[in-house]
Amino acid sequence: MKAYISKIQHFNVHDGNGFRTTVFFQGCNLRCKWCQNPELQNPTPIMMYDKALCTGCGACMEACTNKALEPCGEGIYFHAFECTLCMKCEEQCFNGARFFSSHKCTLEYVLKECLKDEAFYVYHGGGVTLSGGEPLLQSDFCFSLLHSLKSIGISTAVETAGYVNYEAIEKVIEDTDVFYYDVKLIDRGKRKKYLGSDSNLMLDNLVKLSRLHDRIVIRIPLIPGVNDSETEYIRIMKYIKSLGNIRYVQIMPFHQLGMRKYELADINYEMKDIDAENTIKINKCSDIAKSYGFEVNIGGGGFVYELRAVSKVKETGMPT
Amino acid sequence: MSTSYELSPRLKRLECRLKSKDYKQPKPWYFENVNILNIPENEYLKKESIVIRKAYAIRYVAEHIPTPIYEDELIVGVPNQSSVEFGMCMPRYLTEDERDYFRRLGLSELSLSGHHPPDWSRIIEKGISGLREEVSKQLLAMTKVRDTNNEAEVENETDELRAMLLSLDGLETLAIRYADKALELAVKEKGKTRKQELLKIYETLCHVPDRPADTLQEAVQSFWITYTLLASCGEFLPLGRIDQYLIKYYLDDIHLRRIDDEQARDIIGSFLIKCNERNVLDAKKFIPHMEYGTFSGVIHYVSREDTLIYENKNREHFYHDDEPEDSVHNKYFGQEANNRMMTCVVGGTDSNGNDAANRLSGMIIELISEMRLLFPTVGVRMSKNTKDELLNIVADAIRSGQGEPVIYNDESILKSFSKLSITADEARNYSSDGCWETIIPGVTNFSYSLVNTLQCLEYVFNHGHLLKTGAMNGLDCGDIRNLTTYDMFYTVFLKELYYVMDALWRINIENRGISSLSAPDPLLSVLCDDCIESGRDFYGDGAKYHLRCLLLTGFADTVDSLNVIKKLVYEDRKITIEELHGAMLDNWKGHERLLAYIRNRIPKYGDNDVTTDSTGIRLIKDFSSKIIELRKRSYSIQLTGGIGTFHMYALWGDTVHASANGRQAYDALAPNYSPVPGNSEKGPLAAIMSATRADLSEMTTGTPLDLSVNSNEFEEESGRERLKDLIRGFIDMDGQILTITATSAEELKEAMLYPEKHKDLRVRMGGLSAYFIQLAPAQQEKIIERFVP
Ligand code: SF4
Ligand code: SF4
Repeated sequence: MKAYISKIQHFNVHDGNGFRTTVFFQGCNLRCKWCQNPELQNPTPIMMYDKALCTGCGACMEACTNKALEPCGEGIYFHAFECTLCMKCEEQCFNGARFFSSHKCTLEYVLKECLKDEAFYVYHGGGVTLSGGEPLLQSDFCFSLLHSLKSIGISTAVETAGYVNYEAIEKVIEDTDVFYYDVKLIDRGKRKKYLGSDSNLMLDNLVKLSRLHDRIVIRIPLIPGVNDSETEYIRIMKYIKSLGNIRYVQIMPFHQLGMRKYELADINYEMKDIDAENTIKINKCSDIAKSYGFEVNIGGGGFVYELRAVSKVKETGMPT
Repeated sequence: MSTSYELSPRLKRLECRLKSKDYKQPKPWYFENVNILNIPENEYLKKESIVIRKAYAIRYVAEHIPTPIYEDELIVGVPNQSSVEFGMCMPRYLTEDERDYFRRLGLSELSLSGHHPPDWSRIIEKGISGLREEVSKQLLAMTKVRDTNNEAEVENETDELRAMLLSLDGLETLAIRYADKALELAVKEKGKTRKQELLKIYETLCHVPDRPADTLQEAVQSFWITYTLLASCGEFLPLGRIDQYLIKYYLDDIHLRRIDDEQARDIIGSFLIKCNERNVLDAKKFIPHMEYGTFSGVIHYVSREDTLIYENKNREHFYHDDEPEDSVHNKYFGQEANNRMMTCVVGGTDSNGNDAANRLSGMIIELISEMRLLFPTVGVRMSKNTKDELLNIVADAIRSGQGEPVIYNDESILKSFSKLSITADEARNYSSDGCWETIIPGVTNFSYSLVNTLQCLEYVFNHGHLLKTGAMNGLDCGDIRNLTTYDMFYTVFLKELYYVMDALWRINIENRGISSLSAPDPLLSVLCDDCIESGRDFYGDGAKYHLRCLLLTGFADTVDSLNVIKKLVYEDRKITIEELHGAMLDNWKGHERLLAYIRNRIPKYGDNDVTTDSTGIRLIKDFSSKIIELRKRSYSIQLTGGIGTFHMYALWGDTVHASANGRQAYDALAPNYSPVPGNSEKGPLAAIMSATRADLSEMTTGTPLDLSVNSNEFEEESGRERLKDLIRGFIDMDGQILTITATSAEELKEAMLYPEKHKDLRVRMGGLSAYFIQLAPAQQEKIIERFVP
């Protein structure tokens, strides 16, 4: 079994309890204007090119047998339509200047990588978080991965925007300890404008999920001028409250860390000039969320639910 | 949760004075041109032995050194402290003829290497009176058996004992002079509280160090006044396990309600301030007193002819006008200006193996961290049993961004001590030697030599020559083209390595104890076990254990290089060994593609890759077995191993041309046991995994892993818990010594200039971690702003 995985990042401290290993999946059906992983929107890998690292050696071009890379003035032109994703060019670029946003990875490989930090998971429920992109678009793979992890006692989390068929969510419910569920916008018109879809799927799926699962953390990306007005923000709060069993809300302030990826992936970025969210606003939103009775964390680093993985592989943890 | 204290007004004032005044002023040196033999009434001393004259020199210091007492302080004593980089100053006691003779051996009165913490509890608990009694008893016993023994030896021994008594007299004198001064100031003092305090200082010094201490203030004062005299006579002494020495006095005081916790903090804080008064932050204001070419026991270089180059005061110690300002030497000039080997270790176990961490362990870490003091460098001994309370304090100190305390894993270190002939309860008393090396206070005479393994690798390629100097330092093992398998290559590398280890071992044995000929130390000896019983000097045969360490230097670069050679040349056959050699000789110029491949495509130490790490495991195993072999062959020393570079990674890198791991010629080595900086994007957990795979049980002296983490990944309560998990994980995985440094704005700025060296530097904004170097410059600027206080 294989999936398009962008990277497996170790030592993450913001995607759940303890130390997390986060698996980033390729592909997402939303087109959020503020997306900070734009290279993961496409369902298949896309070509990335880092001009700063390129020495102009031409090795990538020589490697391409499909004429997808051709000289063009000083540089090299990429004909996306000719490209068969054979990835020979990436293989020959030792400088890491030309590479793909993700690679086909086997379940065994991903599992092995996830277990590398296993010794550190025992203390505070550290474990594995699936993210992306939208991991649940490759839900069979997610299921197998999560199931394998759970069967050896490792804590699991899934970060999702919920824009998938409900069956995909259902498939992983059993093996997911915590869902990190993005709630971005309620206003339908704005959804169309900013997410690229006005479907109610995301919100409806959350309602369904919340009836079956009681460890859901709501993540709200706070985007200046999009959802940080009091009216919209309060609508979000009311919606979350109506679900009935949500305890944790995490406010994820807007940032520009992904700006460079737009350049590397050659994708147009509309929010270039937006300033990062200011602390006054963040604190205000945090206060509002608290007034609705939620436990609030800014940035996603806080611990949620008292989870402690009991690893069956190595039981050496100290009680904490 | 730990209780966080505000600094008391006294400590705030002391800290303020220290930083606004003391750090900025050049410090005087005393006794620059004094030779006690030149004083007319001392003519008779010329007939006395050297150790007796040394004792008189100590007394001279005690009688003449200024005795200032500063505002607000509760602990007094200002030493004429030496500096590792800028030398020492003390009264001389050798005749002209002797000096000429010793100079040929590289020796003088200044051949003191320090590095050994004495057993400070001897002075605190027994006092001068108790120690005097011990010495006199031994002296008496010795004179009784006089005729049955070798006459000359007995004379040496009685002289050593006499010298101990004389130097104890000196210590008494110094205490009395300070007491006198305190009284004088008390009389003049107008403020009532301060008058009381000065009278208290007077009383304290009338009591200690003469007699055993009863209170915390007496214990600390007894300790510090003794340190003051020793340091004023050229010693560089670590402070050992201060929380253990002092805890019972603290508990008594608290129990009897003599003082409260706040007052205890004032006493300890006042003492910690004293450890920093001689610091000068502007190295140009420091007045050097280095006597170059003096041998102090640390042996660095070996050449083919086995002639030892006494270069312990090597080029790093002075500014080179003939080199550009940013040359390696000049850049590091002043780095050790304030290094006086003042380290301490808190926590750990008692001699029965029970957790001995106490209230003072945490207090000392907190105070050093809160006052942001440079010294003492604090280490903490931890284990699986370490209580959460101490772990919290440790995590908070680390989060505050100072890279301290250094974490010692008791279990792993004690296991390695068990390989030596040292009793288990003595081993449980281990502390640090002035840097990070483990050492047992009061019983260990210690020295080390660095074995630069990257140099050994260079010898393999170049018929035993070091390219920089052209000197034939290794063996000529023939043409590398003949090495057709990796095992053949590795065997030749081991041959070079063992050749250097053999030579260093021999020189260490030959030179054992020679510095005691010109620079014995009776006052230090009286504070160490066995010296009184044997009547021998600590620097000679007196110490109970003589530990010598061969320190594997350049570990990560060597392992990475070996892996490159193994994979590229012998497994994948992408290139011949000759071609690789050529590229190295060209310092990679014209071989950019190869260099990129080596840097980016071959896994490195620190990547948590089992196959890659097996090369390091093998190197440590082969190094260890050589250590064992050499240890078996030695009678007068116990040989141990370790892995480290100290702060000298740039300097030692400066001796080696380009190496196979893609390192440029004369670039710095990776520090200590750490992966090559910027090499791994895999993060600190991976580094810990890689570093704990090998069997480190022969590396008794230590193998510090230095990690850099981003402090903003450890914010809030959950961040502290994660940092604690990191430490726990290291301990559970049998790691040995760990330092964790949180990132600074400076480093980020450097990362902007040299991104390739900071691939692993991560920053956090909002909901995502990102690698710093992958951000757009404007964002990088923004993030840097956040780090500026
Ligand atoms: S191989 Fe890499 S470095 Fe060379 S031209 Fe292609 S992208 Fe640039
Ligand atoms: S992936 Fe293959 S086809 Fe596409 S550009 Fe690279 S070498 Fe050419």
